[in-house]
Amino acid sequence: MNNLEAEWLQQAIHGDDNAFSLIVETYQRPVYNLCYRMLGDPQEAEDAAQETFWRAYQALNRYDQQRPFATWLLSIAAHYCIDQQRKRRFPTLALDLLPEETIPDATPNPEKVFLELEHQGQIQRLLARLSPPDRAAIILRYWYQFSEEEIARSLSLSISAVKSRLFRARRELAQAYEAPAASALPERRKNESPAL
Amino acid sequence: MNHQPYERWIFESDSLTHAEQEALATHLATCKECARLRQKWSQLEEEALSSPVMLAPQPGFTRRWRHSLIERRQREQRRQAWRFFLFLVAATTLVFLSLVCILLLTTSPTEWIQAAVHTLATTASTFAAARGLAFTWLSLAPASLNIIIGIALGLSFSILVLIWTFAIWKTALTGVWNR
Ligand SMILES: [Zn+2]
Repeated sequence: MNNLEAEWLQQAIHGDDNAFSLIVETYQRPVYNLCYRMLGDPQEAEDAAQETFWRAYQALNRYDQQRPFATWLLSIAAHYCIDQQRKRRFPTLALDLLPEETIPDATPNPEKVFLELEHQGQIQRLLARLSPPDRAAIILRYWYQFSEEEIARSLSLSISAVKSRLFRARRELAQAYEAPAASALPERRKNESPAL
Repeated sequence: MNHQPYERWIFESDSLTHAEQEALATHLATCKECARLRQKWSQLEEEALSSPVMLAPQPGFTRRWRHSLIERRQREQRRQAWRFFLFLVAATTLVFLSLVCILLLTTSPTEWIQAAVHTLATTASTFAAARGLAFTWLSLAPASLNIIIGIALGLSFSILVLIWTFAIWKTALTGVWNR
């Protein structure tokens, strides 16, 4: 979090809604991505991301400023998504409805776009095999580079529980993974921005 | 074959000691299952998890946030108003019920009936007395004074009703405890 964002946060804590909107603008992508990876559906991910910001907005005066803001926000999102999945009777994954942003902006090659979609679909299918807390642990580890301590704190688990969840999830993913043919794997976006 | 702790080590290869790495390598050389798991895991790590794609929401997320903030706030205020009224109703009922309980515990039904009959009788006589008093006053006092008193009474009653209505309307609209 840079100085400007820290200033917005202070203003938002003192009730400035415009400052909070700037925070929403800044963190929409990491929050949405977490919700999408957890829920596998663009509309549900949008709703969950909006709900996350609303919960953060309401709890802003309880936010511990010693803790990184992004970690706190993502922890709210992860808890919410895990609860949503528990409430669902039949887990659904709309794999053919990937959001438009999945498609790299500067790829003129439709075949490549299709392959990228396929690749993302495969990742979602793999993630869908995991139980919601295991999935959250994997997403926080690989998409957000959280340490085991940070994952434990974000998901309200002990570190040893995180370790065993990560082990179980990694083994499950590795066993289910079918490597795509060498030519089918799309080139990664060169200027892919890091998680946060 | 026992795959532990090697199976676990496959996924923690970064934090293994030199001796553990050697033991793992020895096991992988002899165990096809673990070797295959290890191969799949390194492929997965490299191809899918090393630089995962961050998906973004549809454009206009912040605009949608602003809209939903207004709606959510109104909903929350209505919910608070309801909670407040339910609390009031519950508290009143509780006080009333505890009074009834105290009465039931300290007095007998016969005493109740006696008290009720007595109250009715006194109320009737008090009412008759008050009516007599009012008629006497009306016939003695000048008409202008009576009109002024009538208007004053009517006005204060209307103001009370107005304040009450306004308070309920305001609470329903803005909530009881604002952030
Ligand atoms: Zn083995």
